[in-house]
Amino acid sequence: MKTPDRFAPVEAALAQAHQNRAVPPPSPGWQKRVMAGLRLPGAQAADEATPLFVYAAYATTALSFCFVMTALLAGWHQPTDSLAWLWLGDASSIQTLLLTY
Amino acid sequence: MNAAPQESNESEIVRRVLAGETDLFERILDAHRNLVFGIVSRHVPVQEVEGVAYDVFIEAHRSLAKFSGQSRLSHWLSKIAVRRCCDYWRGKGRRREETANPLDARQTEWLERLAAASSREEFEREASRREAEETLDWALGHLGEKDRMVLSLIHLEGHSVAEASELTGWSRANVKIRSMRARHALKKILLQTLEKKT
Repeated sequence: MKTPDRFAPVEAALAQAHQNRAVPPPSPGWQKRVMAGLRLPGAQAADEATPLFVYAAYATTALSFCFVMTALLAGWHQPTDSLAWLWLGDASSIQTLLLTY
Repeated sequence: MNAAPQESNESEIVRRVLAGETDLFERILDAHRNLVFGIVSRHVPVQEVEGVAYDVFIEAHRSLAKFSGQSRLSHWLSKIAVRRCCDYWRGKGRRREETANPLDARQTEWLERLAAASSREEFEREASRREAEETLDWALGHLGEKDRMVLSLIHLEGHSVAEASELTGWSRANVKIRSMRARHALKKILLQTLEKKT
């Protein structure tokens, strides 16, 4: 088992090197720059607002659901006009649906 | 010892910063600057430490409302620092020009001397050389940002899987698998280098 023996000291030395990495002190103006950065518009302490596109996605999903349900219910008593026919590519039912909505 | 008063003081500062007293954030900066610099300097190049530490505090301030107060502020900041370091390497992308090159002769010779070290003194002498850090950076450069972070936390810093999972926000199973895979990759890279030479 030559391989593990060769790697063990290497791994130990690398861990030691990692632990001994120098920690640079912040430059004199660093803290002032951070405090100035906090006052920029994007850095205000607040609850992060939900992005607008999330609301847009909810609205689109809800509208699509309503549209599909209405179409299905509207075609319930007239099977040839239902969405099932639309999906099958029946041109006349597409026309009927377009005229209906 | 004085953990409770310190915690309540921290919570009070956080509450007041959220109420609009931004200047009070400087107390958080004073108290935790060394901690953040310590974490960041172990994970990004030395010339980038200030920039990443800056981002850590800006993000901490922006998401201060999410600080629940259930854990210490230092722990919460540590998690942000670890995530920011990961983001740094993700931002660097897959540009691996520096790692595409093999180790130079000086670093390869160091690796050989280290692998062949027969005494503790010899090992310590070699481990403290500059080549150790250079070789480590070169080898870590071959890993993706997540593997790199997990390997550093577990195998180089000695954190447990649970601690690494807590710091990174990844599941324990994910951390464990990544840790094993990353160590295997590191071993392969370094042993291949040694074998090429011999």
